[in-house]
Amino acid sequence: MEELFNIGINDEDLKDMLINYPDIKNLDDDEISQKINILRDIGCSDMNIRNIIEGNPNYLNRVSSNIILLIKKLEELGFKELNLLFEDNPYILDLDKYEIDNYIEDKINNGMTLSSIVDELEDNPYLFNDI
Amino acid sequence: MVCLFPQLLSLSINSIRKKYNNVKNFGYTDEEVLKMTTCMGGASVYGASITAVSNKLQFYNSIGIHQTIVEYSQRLIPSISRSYARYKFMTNLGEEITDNNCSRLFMGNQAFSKYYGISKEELLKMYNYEKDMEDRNGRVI
Repeated sequence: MEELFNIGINDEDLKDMLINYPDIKNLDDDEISQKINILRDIGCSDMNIRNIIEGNPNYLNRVSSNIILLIKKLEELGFKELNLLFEDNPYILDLDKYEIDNYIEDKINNGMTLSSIVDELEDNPYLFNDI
Repeated sequence: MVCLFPQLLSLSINSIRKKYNNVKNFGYTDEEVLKMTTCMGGASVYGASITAVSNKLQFYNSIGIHQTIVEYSQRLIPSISRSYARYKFMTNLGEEITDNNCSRLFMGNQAFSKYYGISKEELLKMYNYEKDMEDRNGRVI
């Protein structure tokens, strides 16, 4: 848990996180570090990372390769400032790449352009909850 | 509310209560927090971290747009970094931002870029919220 304290999460935050997601206590520092580094690699500051993890502690339970695939997909689609997107709605990180693919395909079939879909989701990241 | 933010069901009662009270601590009444909760912005109140929501509410209070969040709670959704950069940019242009005159602060990214001729990326480079807060407070937020 040392890694979490290093990014500014305190005892009280951690207690709340464990109430909602008790599995986190089984994670070792290497796993936590790996998840933190994925966020650092996309330009997240400690503040962004703290807010993402505090907002959605389940992120720590996800499989790293799936998170990386999701991030690559979002970048490929043209999303920018992923640090802010994930900070605004940390639950986006619970999605899988295929879910994004299906959503985009549906929207395009309904006549939207890719850039308008991306704009809409960037303006209101909680629309990702429709996915 | 659950349709807008289904993850609400995965939060503990204690978490929900803390997030609710956090908003109240910024001077909002029970009725106002409930109004925010049942609109789009409720997803942000309960979905984002307490720190992220606090930073936004503190900033909006500091620039005098306390009430707009009650009327349009979806204005709690954009990141503090974006709102801060836009606010600095607009006030540097001489615009006055008040509760009754702040809709441009919350325009969609494309509309904002078109109106002001500046992209979100450029704005964020010009006005860095975290850096400015560190410079001002001498500490990391």
